[in-house]
Amino acid sequence: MEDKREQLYTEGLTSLKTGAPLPAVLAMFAKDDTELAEELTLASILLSIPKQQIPRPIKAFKFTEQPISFWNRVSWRSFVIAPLAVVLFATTAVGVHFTSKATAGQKLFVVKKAYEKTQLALTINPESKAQLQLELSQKRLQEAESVLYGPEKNPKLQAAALAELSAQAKTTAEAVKQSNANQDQNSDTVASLESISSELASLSKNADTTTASSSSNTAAKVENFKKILTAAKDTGITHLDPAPTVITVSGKVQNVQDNIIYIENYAWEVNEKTTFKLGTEKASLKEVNKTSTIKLTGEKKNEHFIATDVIITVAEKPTETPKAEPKEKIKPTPKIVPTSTPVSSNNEPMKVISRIIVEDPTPQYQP
Amino acid sequence: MPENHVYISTAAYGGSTPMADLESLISSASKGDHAAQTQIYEEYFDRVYRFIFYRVSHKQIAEDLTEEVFIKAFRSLSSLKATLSFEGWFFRIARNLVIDHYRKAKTTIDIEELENTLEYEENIVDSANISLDQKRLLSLMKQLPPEQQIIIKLKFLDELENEEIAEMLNKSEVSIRVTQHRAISKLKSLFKNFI
Repeated sequence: MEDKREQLYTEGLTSLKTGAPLPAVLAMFAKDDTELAEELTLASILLSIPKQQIPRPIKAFKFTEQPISFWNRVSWRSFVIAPLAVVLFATTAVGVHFTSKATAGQKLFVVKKAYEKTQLALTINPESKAQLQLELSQKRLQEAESVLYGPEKNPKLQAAALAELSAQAKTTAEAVKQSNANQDQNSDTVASLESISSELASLSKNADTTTASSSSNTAAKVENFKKILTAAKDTGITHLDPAPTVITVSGKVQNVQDNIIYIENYAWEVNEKTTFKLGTEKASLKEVNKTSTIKLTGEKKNEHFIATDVIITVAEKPTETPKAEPKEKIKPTPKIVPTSTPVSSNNEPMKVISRIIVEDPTPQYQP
Repeated sequence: MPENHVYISTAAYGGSTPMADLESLISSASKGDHAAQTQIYEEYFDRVYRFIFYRVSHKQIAEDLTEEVFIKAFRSLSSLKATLSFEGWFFRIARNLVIDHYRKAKTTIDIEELENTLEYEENIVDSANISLDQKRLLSLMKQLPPEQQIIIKLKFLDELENEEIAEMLNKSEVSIRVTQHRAISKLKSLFKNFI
């Protein structure tokens, strides 16, 4: 009995919450049950308790500023590659030491490259990938310098190092191009990397077995590559911002103040790059006001919301108070008053002629 | 539409948020997809903020704690197993953050006592427009056992569903239904005796 009542109570409460009137709910669920009827009545009273208005929050989207953890980024496929890499490298501590020192052309360099390939496969974010490629470029550079300027002059290894450096420069250029951050500054870096890649490839192909390391040209190219990597670091590629989140908001404008449009908990900054449209016609911020309905597209970068495109879908001019027209004095309306019937000299009534009396009322204003 | 593009339309505008299937949305969000996370954030933000605001009664604190809820949620999303209610999971995080917030201020206090000591119903209820019966009921609620009190408040003041309450309090939905009914039954007796 208790279970049955509890079930009916739950169903009755659900009906109340969807807006069904209490008498109807009682008739449906508590027709012959006074206790249940009282419970549902009580629930109805509780449901209708008025709630206080709460202040509208400002959304900051702070979760977008959090770094994406490694374990959130990897896909299950990575766990196929990773164990293989572990098997490949978990030989001996000495083996690991020699692997890290290996340069292009040496047997253990293949193992080193395989490990780096694993690292790249586990990196999904384009900005992190570009960062990793820059770090690998630094490694290739160090390896090239060690074979070019080290005590053992091995022309084959030198040529291989240069080829590897060239290939790495090209791969890095591609990765930086794919990165979404700092795109204006990255274009110079990409161009430089592509250029040095060609130059190094050419050097590698034409390397004289006895003069590669002594060539001032080689030294210059390597030095140039070093400068490109340093410049890339300075321009902020190594501090890559997460891709801005593009947001589109539609609705009524709450306020416009200076160059900020307030709409639905967002405060959007308008700058010189923001485009405005009213229908298909070009418009400006001046056409946006509290009565406008807009569709706004923008980006969240760091703490700021920057509007990129604003389409005014409903534009209403703010109601202007009609200008008070100057009040004119109106001329007094002549009042026509019948006079007493004049009598002609022959005692015949004369035709009544109304005498026009011009009153001099106080000037009236038009309503 | 590019992968990182989020479309939001206000209710007033008459549109609706195009939500992907919740499961795939959660999956994407757990991998760090900002677009998916933003969609979830937009969907649940208002209710979570309201839940917290009623308990802290301070806009800035409520905003900060709400942001913290989503940061924590997205961090642990990948380890989330089946839940009774996804929204209820957010409320659980929110409740814990509020408790932590008060714990920093009040060093030794029992969790249940804290949940009730907050007496947040005074923050929720519009006292100016409340009826005499409603006032009586709110006053009588304090005579209920703590567990029943919490559930009644969550149900009728916070307007949470049974599944959300169950997820939040880490109980079964059946348990919440039964407890709630018992609380109403007791409240009815108290109300009758009061009149």
